[in-house]
Amino acid sequence: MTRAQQRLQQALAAEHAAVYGYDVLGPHLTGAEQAAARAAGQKHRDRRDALTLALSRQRVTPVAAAPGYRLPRPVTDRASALRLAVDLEERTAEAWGGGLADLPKAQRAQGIDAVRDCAVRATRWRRMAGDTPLTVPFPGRP
Amino acid sequence: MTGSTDVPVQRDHQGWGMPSSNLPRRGVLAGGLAAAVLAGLAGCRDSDEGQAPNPLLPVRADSLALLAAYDATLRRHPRLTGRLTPLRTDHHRHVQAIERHLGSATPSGSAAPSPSAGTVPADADAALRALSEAEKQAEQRARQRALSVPAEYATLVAAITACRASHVEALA
Repeated sequence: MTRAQQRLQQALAAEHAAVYGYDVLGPHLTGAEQAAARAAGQKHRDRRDALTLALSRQRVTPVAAAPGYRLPRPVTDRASALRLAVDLEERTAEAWGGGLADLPKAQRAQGIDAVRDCAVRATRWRRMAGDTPLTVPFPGRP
Repeated sequence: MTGSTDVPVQRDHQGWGMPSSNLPRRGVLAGGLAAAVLAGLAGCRDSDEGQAPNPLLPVRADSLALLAAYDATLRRHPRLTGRLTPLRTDHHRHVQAIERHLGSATPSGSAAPSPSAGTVPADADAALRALSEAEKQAEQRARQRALSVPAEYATLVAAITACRASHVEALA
């Protein structure tokens, strides 16, 4: 595997974990927040699928989802669900952002856009959670 | 939802969710040194031409312009201080991070024109919309830069791109 492929595998692992996390936290939200969680989960599924396809085309076996993931904190209510959503976005952004230097320029756009989308969603979740500040200066920088 | 606690930890220092791969860590430092050496060589060859401008300079110029726009807005609308100060601080951090990379190549003084408070809309919502538009345009320029900068700057410029995008969200 090339270094770029290893980085894509890291991003894929993070996307798997994010998909799992949103499935866990979604049921603790209601209404518009639950819809936002569903939409966010779908975005991570889309990136997961795109990575899976890209790696397969490069004849690399894409890293599989784990049967489960230990969450940083238990999710028991709305507040902990929102906290996890922020966490998922920050970690996924780091998986993409940390690997950018190793991706060929032609493959960089997907990583830049992934970091940006994660950062925007994290800000949205922080606002719903009532967190301040709403932003971080360097999303995706490990 | 159950089943989230009886499974192995799927996170280590290499990244959230990554099971076991052992990514060798290539030093950013090594990459930076290599670039510095190459730049030095190029400098030796083309000493009369001078070096190409550092690709971080336009990113810094946009950060300085955004800082100035926030300052002007804050002068006109002091009531927005609580909301805008954290965003302003992000831009300040960007300038600092870029200048750490630039070192002695940092231009002296600010190239950004300082908008006066008079150019800021009197209506607070309109002022926020103007900042949001400035962030959006700066984000798009940063994204283009992020696509083309040397590898060692990619994570930084992508982070700045993402931060500006998150500001648009925060100002919404």
